[in-house]
Amino acid sequence: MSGGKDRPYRYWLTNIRGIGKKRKISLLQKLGSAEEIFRAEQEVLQKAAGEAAAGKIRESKKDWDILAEYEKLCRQKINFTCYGDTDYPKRLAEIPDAPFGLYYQGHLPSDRMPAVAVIGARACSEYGVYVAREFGSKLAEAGIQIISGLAMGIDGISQEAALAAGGESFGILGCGVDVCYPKCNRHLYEKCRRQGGIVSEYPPGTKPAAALFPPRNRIISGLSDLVVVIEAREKSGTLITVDMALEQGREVLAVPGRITDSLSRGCNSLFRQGAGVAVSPLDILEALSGPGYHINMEETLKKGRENVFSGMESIPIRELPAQEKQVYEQLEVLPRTPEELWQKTGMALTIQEVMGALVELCLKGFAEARPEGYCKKILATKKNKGIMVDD
Amino acid sequence: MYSTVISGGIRGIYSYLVQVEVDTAQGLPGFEMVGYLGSEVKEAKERVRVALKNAGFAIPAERITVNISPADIPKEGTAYDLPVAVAILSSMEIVPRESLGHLLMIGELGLNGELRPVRGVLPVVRKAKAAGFKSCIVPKENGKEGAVVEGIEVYGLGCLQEVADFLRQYKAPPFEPAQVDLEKIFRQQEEKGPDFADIQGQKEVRRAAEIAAAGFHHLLMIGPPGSGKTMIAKRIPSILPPMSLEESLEVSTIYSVAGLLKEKQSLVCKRPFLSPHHTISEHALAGGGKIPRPGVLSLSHRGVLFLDELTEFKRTTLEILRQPIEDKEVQIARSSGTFTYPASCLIVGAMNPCPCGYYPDRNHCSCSPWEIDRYLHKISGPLLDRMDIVAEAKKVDIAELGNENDAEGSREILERVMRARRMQQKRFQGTGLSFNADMGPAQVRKYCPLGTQQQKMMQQLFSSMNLSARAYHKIIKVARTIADLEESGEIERRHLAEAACYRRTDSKYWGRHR
Repeated sequence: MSGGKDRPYRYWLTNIRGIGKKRKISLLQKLGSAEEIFRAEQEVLQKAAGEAAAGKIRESKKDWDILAEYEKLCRQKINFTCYGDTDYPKRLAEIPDAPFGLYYQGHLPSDRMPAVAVIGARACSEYGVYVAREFGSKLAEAGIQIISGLAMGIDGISQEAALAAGGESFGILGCGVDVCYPKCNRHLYEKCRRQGGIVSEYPPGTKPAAALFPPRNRIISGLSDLVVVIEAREKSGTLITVDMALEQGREVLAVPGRITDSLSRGCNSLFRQGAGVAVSPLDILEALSGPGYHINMEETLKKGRENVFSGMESIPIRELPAQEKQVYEQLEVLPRTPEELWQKTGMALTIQEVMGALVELCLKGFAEARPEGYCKKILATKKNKGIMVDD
Repeated sequence: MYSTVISGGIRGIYSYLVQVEVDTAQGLPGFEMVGYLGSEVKEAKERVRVALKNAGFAIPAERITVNISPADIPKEGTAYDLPVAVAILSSMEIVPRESLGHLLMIGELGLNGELRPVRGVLPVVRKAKAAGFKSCIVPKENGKEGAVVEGIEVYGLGCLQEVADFLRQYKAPPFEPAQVDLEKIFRQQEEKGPDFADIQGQKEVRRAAEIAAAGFHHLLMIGPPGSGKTMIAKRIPSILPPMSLEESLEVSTIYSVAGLLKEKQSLVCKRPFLSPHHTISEHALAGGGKIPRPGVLSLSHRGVLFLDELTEFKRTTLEILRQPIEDKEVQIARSSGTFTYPASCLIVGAMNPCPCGYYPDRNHCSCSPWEIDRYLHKISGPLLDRMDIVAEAKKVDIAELGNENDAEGSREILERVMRARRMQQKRFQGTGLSFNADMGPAQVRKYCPLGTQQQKMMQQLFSSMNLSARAYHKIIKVARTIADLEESGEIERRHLAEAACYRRTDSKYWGRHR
């Protein structure tokens, strides 16, 4: 049953209020297509769906001009797919409460490529920022589609990193696909549309509301093979997504943090419940090789070991002036303040020398300035598609 | 009989000469005052009449007309009481007219005939000296303030009777001119204030404060509560270079106009340190009133204006700072004219990075990114751009608190600051500038030439840090001060790098999303 000619009718069917998804599906099965439903006699509908539902369908026909409405949607460059269509994501169709209609801009995640949801706290720490970037870019380089909620914090950062690494990323919204929320992630929203997709089950123009977000979380996990959690507080929206992922039978991995950090509590409670441990993006690749993707483990592992967390040792730091080298040796992947670095160099340098060296290192591309301090800059590695797709 | 006495009026911090004319003539007895007078000046009529009577002078039953000229400038204040009274005495031929020739006088009168202190004695006496007067009569309490001006005799007298005596024996007055020992006053300032030795850790902010003090660069400190930002700010006066006499006169003039000079304190010779509460109004900050008086911004001229809890200030109040920071003066326009007060102060701000104060320590801080943004954006971009040095205060470790005191004291820091001060004095001799921070773009080009290496570095910094033209010059100016602290004639790469480090801090917070 491809969309094609029936699609405008399916769009109408999706938007009938007061009829559940199950009844819509059974109607489709009984009558064959949405067009048939639209054209069906009232008695036929009453027999197929019951009196109340038939009444609702009749009501909805009154103020719905099939072709005009669908054309309006197309003019907005919004695509539409419906449960049962061939282009409806397979992974999503498997979940118990799959949305009946799905709106998207850009395109939908490919069923042939692995997809991973990277989720976590909005108010994340510098550690979270670092890990989200690392996982986002490394997974994207391995050809994995990154699914997330386009939110601030972990969600947005991992997607941003994935897109920057040349990968594809999909933002699942709790509002219409034509509404950018949160507004400050506008650039990410635009980039996702070009280099991936924006997906929502809510009709275009729907304003974001608190009640709409928990249901969209099931789509995030539903579109993915696997869910990675980076930093979550106890009782957070992230853990709601995890619950849904588990109901849907998705594997959940979490990234460990320090036990003293409140942002690690969520992940640590997941470990207690038996979640997988992801200490490197490679763990994700390993876990993914289960559900039918033949990942070229040997090559990926080899390349991965070289790149992941190794920073940029290959760059000739030998050529740096002595002071800069001294400071560089103390830099880590997590940010340190000039004062901490000064202490770590054994106070051999003055604070002003440390600060000067840091700016030089930033200019030369060896270090990076973050709100918490200065850290080693990890250079983006070359594209490394280590995944073969099982046809 | 016509008679005239010279006095002085104040407009902003400047003084102008005023002629008080009195005519007593036959006619219906009365007392008229004209000359664009404010209400307190008009009330002088009653004070003068009663004071004269109580000092033992009978006012003739004649028609007395007083004109205060120039008659087209609005007059305010009570300093015209004495000249009006003396002009009347002169017109009654109680004091000889010749005695008034090279004399200028100001003072308020009490009903008992005593002379009371007035505002603005210092600028008036300076003006008198510039206009070639030989002596001045001022109220006793203002004597020392006036005596600071050299080359003119200033007599501090107690009551109207004394003034009459003085004038009657003007060739050899029975009074001594007021004297001040400038050296002694300047020595007094060396009293001990809080010392930098009290501060544990905070290497970065200490260094930033040192540079700020040496070159008068505006400083913004960001850090969690209790990290010692306020402590450091309070210790900045202890490492500021002492004021020169010229600077001291500038500051004292402002204080004199504001009526804030005390009798004991003839001159402000310690750099002011003002720390207004964040509820301060726009007018209190910039100066205000119908005839504007200097605000906190001008009162901290040549000194430190410390704005603690910067984000708690009203935004409109903070935005007022913008133009004075650039121009080093405040211009206040009123219907009666535009008033200009100098405002070349070192602005030191202190603030938390987020509402709870602990960002980026996520164990303490659970503020949402949105809340942090809203908090930080209370400081507008243009204002932030005007801060030369942004330094982070970090939470102090217990290890540092426990350390036996090995922190540098204010004296050692001051020695380095003085070195930089001498370099700057040499550099700016005869230009009217005094600190590196005062340089404009043209002077930066002239006094801070960069080598090819350094220029290349600045180009890289300009593009990588997304600098404004102003920020670009500020980095060079701060680097100049850092080089001065080392007595280095050339600005080296390391100086530029350190200066840039203090500007990177702000983009770390405000540019988090870039």
